[in-house]
Amino acid sequence: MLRLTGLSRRYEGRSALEDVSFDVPPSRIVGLLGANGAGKSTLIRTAVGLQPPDAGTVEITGVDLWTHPVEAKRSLGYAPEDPSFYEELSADEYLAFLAEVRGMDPAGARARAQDLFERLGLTGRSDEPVRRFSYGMRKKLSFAAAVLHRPPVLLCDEALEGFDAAAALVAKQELRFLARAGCAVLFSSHVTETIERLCDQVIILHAGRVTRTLEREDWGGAAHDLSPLEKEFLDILNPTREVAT
Amino acid sequence: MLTASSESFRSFHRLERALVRRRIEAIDPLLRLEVAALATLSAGFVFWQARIPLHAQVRDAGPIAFAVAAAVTWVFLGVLAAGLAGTGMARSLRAGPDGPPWLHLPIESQTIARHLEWNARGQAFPLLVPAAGFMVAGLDLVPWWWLPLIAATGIAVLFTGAALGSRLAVRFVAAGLPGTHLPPLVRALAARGPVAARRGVPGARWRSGPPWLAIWRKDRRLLARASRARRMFPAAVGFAILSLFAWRLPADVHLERFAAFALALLAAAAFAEWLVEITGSDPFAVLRHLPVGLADVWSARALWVACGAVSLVAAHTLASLAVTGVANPVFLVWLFLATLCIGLLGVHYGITLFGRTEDATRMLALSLGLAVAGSIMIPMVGWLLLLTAVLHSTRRLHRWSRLEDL
Repeated sequence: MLRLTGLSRRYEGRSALEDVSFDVPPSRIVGLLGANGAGKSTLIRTAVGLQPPDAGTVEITGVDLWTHPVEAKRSLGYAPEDPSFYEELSADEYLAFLAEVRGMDPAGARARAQDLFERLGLTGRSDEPVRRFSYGMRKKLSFAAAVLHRPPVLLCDEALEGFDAAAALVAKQELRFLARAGCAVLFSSHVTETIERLCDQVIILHAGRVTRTLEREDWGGAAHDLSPLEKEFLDILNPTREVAT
Repeated sequence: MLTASSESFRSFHRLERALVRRRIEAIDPLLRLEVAALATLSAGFVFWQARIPLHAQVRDAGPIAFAVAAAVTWVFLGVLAAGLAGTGMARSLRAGPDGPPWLHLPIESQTIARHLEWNARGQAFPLLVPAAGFMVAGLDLVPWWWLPLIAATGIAVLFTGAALGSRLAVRFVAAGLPGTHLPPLVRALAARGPVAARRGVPGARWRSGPPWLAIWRKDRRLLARASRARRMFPAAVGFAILSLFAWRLPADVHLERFAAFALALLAAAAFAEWLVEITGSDPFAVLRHLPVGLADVWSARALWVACGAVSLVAAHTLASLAVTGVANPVFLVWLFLATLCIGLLGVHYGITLFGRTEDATRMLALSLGLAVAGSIMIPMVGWLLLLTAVLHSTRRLHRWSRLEDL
């Protein structure tokens, strides 16, 4: 469970977050929707420990992030909007490093990484230095790094931006799978269609404040993974595919 | 009516003023005070070293002796400025200069070159500190109105040196690149990008271990790749090898020992600079969301320091064996402790100035320079200063957990 309580953050006198409080319970995918500059990235960066809040607390699986950072971050996965890597390491080496830092079983981590590479379409390029990766490939690698250890709490900041349709489908399936396994997912995006299809609940952030919280029933949509156009595209890529929802 | 070039000149002028303001703001007030104190002490050292010889020369040959000494100093500093600015420019062009994709902008290449030169000139800025010390040493030695003239000449020489160094660096980087009909800067900027053929690296090794060891292993991998950290490492190894050859000098054993020690300290300083670089190469957002604490980051780099100090001392023990039986144990212990202190200082600056590698490198250079100056002034004071710097930087380590990606 992710719990944010009274989170505030100011930049040079300008308020980016104002007393933001909400929970992301286990097994839920909560969307964070807001216009550019609404405070989504500030909120997520504060919630993963990249910048301290001016006030308020962040709890990850009951552990305060800013008083026990190492313990809290063991349960955390983070796919940033603008990912950064050790550019000279290969994708394989990068995930091997993360797995070791997170104390994962080496054989299990390797199998999981290969599975993610294959499903996200990175197989064949995973032994190349990351600096040669395109934007989309970097985003896929960042997503793979975030879900590698099947974290109990996952924060995604515009994580699917740059994905091709097939990889986006895989990523959404992975998010649903993790949520079913008990993961609390906070998924930030400014693309309403993605949030509409993926999330169980939506928090709307405006000018650094939570202005509304909506349940899936409120917008009346059933969970769909694909738009009609996505279906057409995937039919061309793989006519024999079976879509798991 | 304004022409396009004068308008873009004004735009760049405004941009540069804003960049200077932003860079000063990015240094926290306490660090500004520390840098100012170090600069004042360094200038004071130059004054202290230069004043007496200058006084003697002026007494013997008249005020013209000061002008000659100033000319020699300015030429020396000008060459140094050219080297520093040129290195900075070459590094910037190879890594891709800060700012937008310059070539897509509707501005002439000379305007871009002028801006990049301005940026590279910043590397030579610290040379104003010894220059100031030298000028203060000239007070009362020459007619007062000479001093502003000599100072203005010095500044002009420094700027000219830096500009020449930058231009040579552009030509050096552009040499051999395709498109010889294009200006060198355009060729250098256009060569940026993923042009290398697909080539894999050796497979990853999936292991388990404590986080600090994972970071250390990752550093080792980066050292084997074409990274900036790797380009800096040979300097440390080179000085270390030279220091071993010092034991083969056809000279008195005391002189051998002195040369070996001085070169080994240079190796330690280059190693510390590498440690600053490798510590600064951790992407902020990668380490900060991982379950990695200050202790892990520090331990990984302290292991490098320990490896470096042990290797250097072991090599000197072996190298001195054939020459002197065995090097003075005091020498070996002193060398071990000095390497440890210098290395740790590099690690601490790398950690506390995380994300500002250039500032960390400057702080390291200033601290070590001050320690050397201290030892020249009063024996052992330099070591005291070095130890103080290590202790002071240790006290600042906890700031790592509150640093932000600026």
